[in-house]
Amino acid sequence: MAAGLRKASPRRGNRWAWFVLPALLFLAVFFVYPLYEMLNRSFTEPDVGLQNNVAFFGTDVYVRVLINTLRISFLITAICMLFAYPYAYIMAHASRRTAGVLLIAVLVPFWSSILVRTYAWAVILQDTGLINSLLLGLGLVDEPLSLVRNLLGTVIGMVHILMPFMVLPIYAVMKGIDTNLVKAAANLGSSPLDAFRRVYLPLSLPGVFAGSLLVFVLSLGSYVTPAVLGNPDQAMLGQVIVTQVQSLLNWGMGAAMALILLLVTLLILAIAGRIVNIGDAFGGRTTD
Amino acid sequence: MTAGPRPRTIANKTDDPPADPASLTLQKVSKHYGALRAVDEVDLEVREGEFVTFLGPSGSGKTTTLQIVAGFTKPTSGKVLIDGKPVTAPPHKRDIGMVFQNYALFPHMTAADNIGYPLKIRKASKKERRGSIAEALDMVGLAEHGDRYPSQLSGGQQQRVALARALVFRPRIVLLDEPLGALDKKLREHLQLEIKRIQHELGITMVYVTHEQEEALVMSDRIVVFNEGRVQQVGTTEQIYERPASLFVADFIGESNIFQGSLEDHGGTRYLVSRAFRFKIPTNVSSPADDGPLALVVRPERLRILRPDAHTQVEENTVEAVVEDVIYLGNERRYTLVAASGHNLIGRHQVGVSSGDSPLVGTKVLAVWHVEDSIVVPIG
Amino acid sequence: MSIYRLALSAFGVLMVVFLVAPTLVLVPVSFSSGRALQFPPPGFSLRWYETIVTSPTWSFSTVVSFQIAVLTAILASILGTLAAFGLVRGRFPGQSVANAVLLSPMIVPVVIIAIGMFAVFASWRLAGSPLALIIAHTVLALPYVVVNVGASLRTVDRTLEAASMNLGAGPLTTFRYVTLPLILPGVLAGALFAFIVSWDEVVVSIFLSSPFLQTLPVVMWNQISEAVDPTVAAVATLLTFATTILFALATFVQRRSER
Repeated sequence: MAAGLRKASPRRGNRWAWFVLPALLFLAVFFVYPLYEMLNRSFTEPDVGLQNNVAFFGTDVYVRVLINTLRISFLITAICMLFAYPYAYIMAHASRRTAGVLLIAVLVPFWSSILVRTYAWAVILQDTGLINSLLLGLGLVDEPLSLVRNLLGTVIGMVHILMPFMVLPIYAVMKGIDTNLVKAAANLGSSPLDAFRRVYLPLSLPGVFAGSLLVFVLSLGSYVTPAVLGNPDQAMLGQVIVTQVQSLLNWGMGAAMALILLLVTLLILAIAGRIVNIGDAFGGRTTD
Repeated sequence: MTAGPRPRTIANKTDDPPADPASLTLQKVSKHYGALRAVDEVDLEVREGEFVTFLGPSGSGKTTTLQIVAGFTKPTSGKVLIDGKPVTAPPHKRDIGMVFQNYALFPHMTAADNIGYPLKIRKASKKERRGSIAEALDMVGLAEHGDRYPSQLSGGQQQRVALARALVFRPRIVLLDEPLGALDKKLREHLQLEIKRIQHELGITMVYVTHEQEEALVMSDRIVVFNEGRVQQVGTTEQIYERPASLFVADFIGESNIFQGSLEDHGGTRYLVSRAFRFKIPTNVSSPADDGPLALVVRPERLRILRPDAHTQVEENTVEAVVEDVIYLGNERRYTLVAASGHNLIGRHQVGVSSGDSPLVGTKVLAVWHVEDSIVVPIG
Repeated sequence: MSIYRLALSAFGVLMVVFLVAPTLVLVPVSFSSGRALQFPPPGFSLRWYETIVTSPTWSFSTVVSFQIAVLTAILASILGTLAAFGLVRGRFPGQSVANAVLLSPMIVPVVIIAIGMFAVFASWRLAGSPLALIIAHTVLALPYVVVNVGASLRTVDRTLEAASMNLGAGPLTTFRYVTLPLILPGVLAGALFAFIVSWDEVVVSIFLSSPFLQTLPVVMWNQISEAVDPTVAAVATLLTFATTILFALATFVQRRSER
């Protein structure tokens, strides 16, 4: 049995633990401690106590930011899902060549930086941008449509940036679905729509779930895209945190907000972690 | 043999003790994983230049024993001696060649580099290495394939490279862990002979692990039969087949007709008796120490199948049976019989050698064998 | 059926345009001869690429970015490769916690990481130094190295190492001649990912950079708010070109190692 080779005795196995140590120490000092120290400020600045958290939930504007952030993230997730599902479906069932082209189309934006993509959308959507120039040039509108510096701008930019995170997990699951099952369902008398609804859709749901989880969590914490493309008056949590810390130097409130953002994120991952493997879902690339 | 009492003394006895100094010696070697006794007090001596096969079903401890010899697994207790000296060194200081189950060729090195690896480690000069590699490649018939990568070689060729690599540094002993398991039957048979030839040419000690009894019978000077971590029997192929030491060995090696019963003595003639039968047994069978149950084993080729009214001798045991099936295999006919006692019997007759017409399915016959062809073994 | 198929195909084409267009739209803009961002560009010129080369801000930050990315890739590769060995080969108490901690920089929103580091690095007098950026980027890049090296390490057949030992090689020699060459694609892919993470990183860098030390994305970020001339488009085009090549390379190397 080759098992004899792999079955390292517990003591031998422990020796490998030392290899993890440098990276763990590094993260402890430069990642965990800074997070702890900063989050702690929500309870210590300016005074010791829960005043920042009370103030957060007592202030209409802040609560509205939180709700707004959740709402926008939900919207982005829903739109991504709506477009990614049929796209992944085509990808999973097209010929190899078509599937390859579609895959590259997903990966190319995936490969370029968020800042670049956000900037590109600004160039496309702004008043003198591609779309408005086109519409004005064709005489379809008399004055530029406002496509940027509002919710629309944020949503378009974010959907574009997060689309790969929805498409790839769904595609991965669909690729593994045995098409014979659908054929079998059809053979048993289901209409194509019925077979899809009763067999294919339920089987593809894990991918939809993993993708939605990723997209939702990533949009919750987003900063760059809403800052460039969004309406400053309808800021998302990430932007408000930065403003509190950078402009107002209000560390207590900034940290309190960061804590809330972190807790919401972890809560969603914890709930979802019981259903899908988060490590797999995060195998790809994250955004801001 | 499941969870039976410890094997009787007869089981561990080597039939002819080695005369030369032993190349490899195992003394009461055990390996326990918690309550599981993967290897249980294995004693063994392998002579210089001998080809010894560890034969047993999977999980019988043969591979673990090999791993202990190679140094990959530490025995829980017991000693391993090479040339009479105890070895405790880590694997890389043992100078034992090994051919692994899946060949374990380095995928990022060519066949030549794979073979040259142990020489490079031993700091042989480039020139020396080149000579040895060429020689080794030549020996396994791959002189033209030195610059190929493992993925560019067939399974059989990979196996040859693995063998050459295990031999090139002239180790004291070469261990082979089911090296032919992944190959098809024809290639396997061809390579069996080839390994045997190389072993003979080099006069090197080889320990070979397999679960294929045919492979063991073809290749070995001696066979060590393993079951449940214990050595059941050590002996030449003929000894193992003709004089199995336990029911397990009889059952595992070759086909057998087995009758279980107890010993009875009637006026100097001894019988194996059960409710359904009474068979004479050879005089040289010694009584088991604990009066436990015994099994009578008859090899199918020793069984004669006669008409029910045929005349039989006094020194023959007979069983009335009905022919259930006859399979024509070209060189032989294989009979499946159901005895009146309910036992299933197998008979094999060489086509063209056995005279008379072959009985038809459904006819009554007499299954007959000579008393001296009865093998009596303890039921472990 | 055919209408349904036609609709699906049309949808696919539109999606491809949506996904790819933003990446491509900057290319014509960057070659524009006009001063402002306008469509269609009035003419062709290389003036904005010239600006990058001649402007000290752009060229200096390009060099800074490159150096920081290289050092990040090296540091993250060393720490991450060691950690991957521990996680894949080891069996120790707290292993799943260690694993979670090593992957957590991927999960915690970057804004939070940024202000956390900003808070602490300032008090350590690290903020504004190249070291701060290297450390911060290494934190963000570590998970990518751990994931990539871990994946390739899991595919290494341990019997190859046993074979090497059997043939006379000690543990270190076995690592050098057998294990390392086998996981090298994973290590390289991890290093490339780490480079890209650093090269593209904006949020943490905004907080940790000073007026005297800015990475390329930080300069871009500062210019975007003005967004007046096409220099940023030229920079963006260059950035995209570079990262696309690196990512393609990383994916290629990764695929090879998975084979």
